Amino acid sequence: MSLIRNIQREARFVGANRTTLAACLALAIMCLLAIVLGQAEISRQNDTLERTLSQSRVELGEVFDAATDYGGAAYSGFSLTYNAPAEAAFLAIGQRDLSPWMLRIRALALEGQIHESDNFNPELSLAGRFDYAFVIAFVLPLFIIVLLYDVYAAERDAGRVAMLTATAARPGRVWLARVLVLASGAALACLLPLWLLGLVFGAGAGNLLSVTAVVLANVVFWTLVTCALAFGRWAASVNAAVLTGIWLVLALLVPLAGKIMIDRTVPGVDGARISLLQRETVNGAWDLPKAATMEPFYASHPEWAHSAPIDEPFHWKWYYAFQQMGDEAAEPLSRAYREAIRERDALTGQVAWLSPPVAVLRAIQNIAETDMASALEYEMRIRDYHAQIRHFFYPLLFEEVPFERKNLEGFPVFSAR
Amino acid sequence: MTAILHIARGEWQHMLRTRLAVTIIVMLLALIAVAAASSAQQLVSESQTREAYQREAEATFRSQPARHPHRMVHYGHYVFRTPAPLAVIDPGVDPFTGRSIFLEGHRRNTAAFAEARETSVLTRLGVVSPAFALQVVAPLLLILLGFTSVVRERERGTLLQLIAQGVPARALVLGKAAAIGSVAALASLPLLIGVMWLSIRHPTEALPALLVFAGHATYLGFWVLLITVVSALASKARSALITLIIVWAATTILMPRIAADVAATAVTSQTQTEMDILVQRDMRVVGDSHNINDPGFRSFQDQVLEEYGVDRIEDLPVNYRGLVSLQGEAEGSAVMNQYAAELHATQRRQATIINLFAIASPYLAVRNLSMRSAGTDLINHQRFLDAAEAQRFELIQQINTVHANEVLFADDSARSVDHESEQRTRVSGDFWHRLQDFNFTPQPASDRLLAALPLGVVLALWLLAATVLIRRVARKAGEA
Repeated sequence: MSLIRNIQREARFVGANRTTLAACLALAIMCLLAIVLGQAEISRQNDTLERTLSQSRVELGEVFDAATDYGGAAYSGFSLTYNAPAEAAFLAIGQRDLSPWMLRIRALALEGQIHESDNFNPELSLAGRFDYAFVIAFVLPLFIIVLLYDVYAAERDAGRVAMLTATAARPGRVWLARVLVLASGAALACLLPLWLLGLVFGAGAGNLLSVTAVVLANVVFWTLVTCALAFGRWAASVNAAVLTGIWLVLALLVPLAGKIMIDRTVPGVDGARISLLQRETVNGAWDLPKAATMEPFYASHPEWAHSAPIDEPFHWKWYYAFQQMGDEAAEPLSRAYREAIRERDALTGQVAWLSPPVAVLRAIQNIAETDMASALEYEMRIRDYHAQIRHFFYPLLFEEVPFERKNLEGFPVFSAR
Repeated sequence: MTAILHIARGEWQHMLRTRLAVTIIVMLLALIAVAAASSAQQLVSESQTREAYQREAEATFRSQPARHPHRMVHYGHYVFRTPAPLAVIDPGVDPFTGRSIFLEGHRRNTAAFAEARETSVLTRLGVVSPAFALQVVAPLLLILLGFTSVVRERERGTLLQLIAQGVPARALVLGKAAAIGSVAALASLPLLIGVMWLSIRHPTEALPALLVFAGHATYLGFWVLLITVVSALASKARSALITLIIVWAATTILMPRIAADVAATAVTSQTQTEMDILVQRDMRVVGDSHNINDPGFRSFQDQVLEEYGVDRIEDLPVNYRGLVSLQGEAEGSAVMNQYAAELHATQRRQATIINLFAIASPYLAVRNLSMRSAGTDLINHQRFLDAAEAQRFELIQQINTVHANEVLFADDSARSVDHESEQRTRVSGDFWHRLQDFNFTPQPASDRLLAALPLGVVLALWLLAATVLIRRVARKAGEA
């Protein structure tokens, strides 16, 4: 009972302190701003996506209408794949300003298409985005340090410690209550904007609960670290300096050391190698006898092995067969490239154990589905869709079906999740 | 002067006595050393790899067998970006831009395989480089080192004592600044050595390198003065520290991001996909150059027939298919370049908005000054893209000319159905030897200096403001 009374008293006391209130207010405004800017970016992406989807459909229709054979239709028929923002994406932009989230593909060799990047302005990427995840991971700790580093020293220097503890039945409770009130102030400053705007922007209560857990865990961690020093013997200014140093190490230096370590352990596959190999295989096919392409192709696609032999110097079914053989030749390298990215991501997860800000960023990006895993999952969906497109055209090409526009009606549509 | 030195020496002794100060100095120097070493090593290996890839791509292209010229248009070529010499100090936007471009007919591709994709969470506050160490970390460490410098004397009551002993207030404040400044100088010493070494190896880079150094020196000077001023004005050490950390976080961590978000919101840019669709739509008007009967080339055909004074394309002395390829590529390239130019202009407008925020953040001033001088900024990335496009256009048109002059129209028309005609359309591999080396020349030093100049002025103004402040504070401290 007395703890609650203590808390009530402390809340009144803290509430009367202008600096503390100003700090909490500043934090809340920053959270609001971050969420609004994040939402602005995501709604811009949604608008773009909607616009592009309809443009792309029109364009594909035009191409099919103008086509005179299936091979030509497949050659010029680009269709749109996209990674639509998840419900809570506005909380963490994550990979969405580095990895493409829209890509047009066609039936040609995929390895020549899938590594295309978007035209992001690199000077914008350089700064990084001001999103909620960033405020929680990097800025919130600084606020907790500022609020709590002199929670004891301020009273000690003002000579009030003896008075405070003398009147209390259990002195520890007084400090516990004050720390609780200050930490809750910081937590509320982050959580109120989150729930208020989060529900308006439709993030989903489940996501908001998960993010709340991350915020609270982060508040508890930095409160404990700060209190460990704040109740020590050192002067308040030394505490503040040491705490800032700890923040510097955890937020900046550990991640950078981790980056150097990861670069050394997983050097990664050079992406350029994949496109070079794919291009050699695809173009080399023109100079080889048709059988050199068709035999391995029929081996991996036995369902078309009965197709009529090719006599002419050029036939579309041969053309798409060697496109596919190019992809198959580059497959091991491409797989290794993805594996390297996955492995680097896993190692980043280990670095997160040593760096709470990195852990917070990863956790919120995971909830927002803007992390590396989501970017890779999108890549896999592109691969599946490309296979659907190929298999849509194969029967038309290998059965040598006479060209009719209506046969293109069943062209597969990319399904968003 | 001797009084200033006396005070500075006292502050030095204090710093060495406190373990915190020693820790900070060691940390700062170690960080800069590690950043420089890792950055230099990465850059050297990166340069060698890119260089090797470039030579390999050129050799592969030149060694292609006899082929139909249009096969080579689709076979294409790769160009790789080798990092600028000063990227050792400041990699700028390099980690965020693609490192290779595939050059082929009919398309202007984007640069693929950016490094930042791979470990983005770890580098969200910056990449390992000497510039990052000096721009972001050094000010924070200097704050931790210097926030007590003057206010400590006030809290202990030694301030009045010193003034009573006849130490001029000016000497006291400047002496403290000199002590913090000497640590800043120590921290920027590795940069000076690096700049001198780079200037010797790349004499044309000497001036930009010097400007990079001057920018960082001015920036650190600003922080040294600001720290002393805040310490002299504060009544308590902790309020000095809190004030300085807030200024640091606001200008170094928050402002760049807010600037980027404002720029992205104020000037919206088209995604590559949207642009590709628009290009494809416009290209339908131009016509498909694989099809000589495309309505888009009807007037071109009339024009060609008239020019050569013949009635049928079969009677032309050159291969009409090659002419259509030349024409189609020229018109298509004009369309694509127009979109690319619009995109580049949009991105530059965004960069200008970010530049304006340098008025509110000395960090942005030094960051942009440094990458503009080093040639690792948006402008140079766009220059690389344009150079790649120029190379692409020249190469493709060279091949299309071979197509027009060396392949017979009759063979060309029958090549998809007749094996012997197909064989005759293959031109000698000797033609592929004509490929030019890709030589990307970075923006000339004078242009880079010009681009960095406004930022240099802003930075100088920040230093000037801090100087004015410290003079006032020095006078006031005397009155106290």
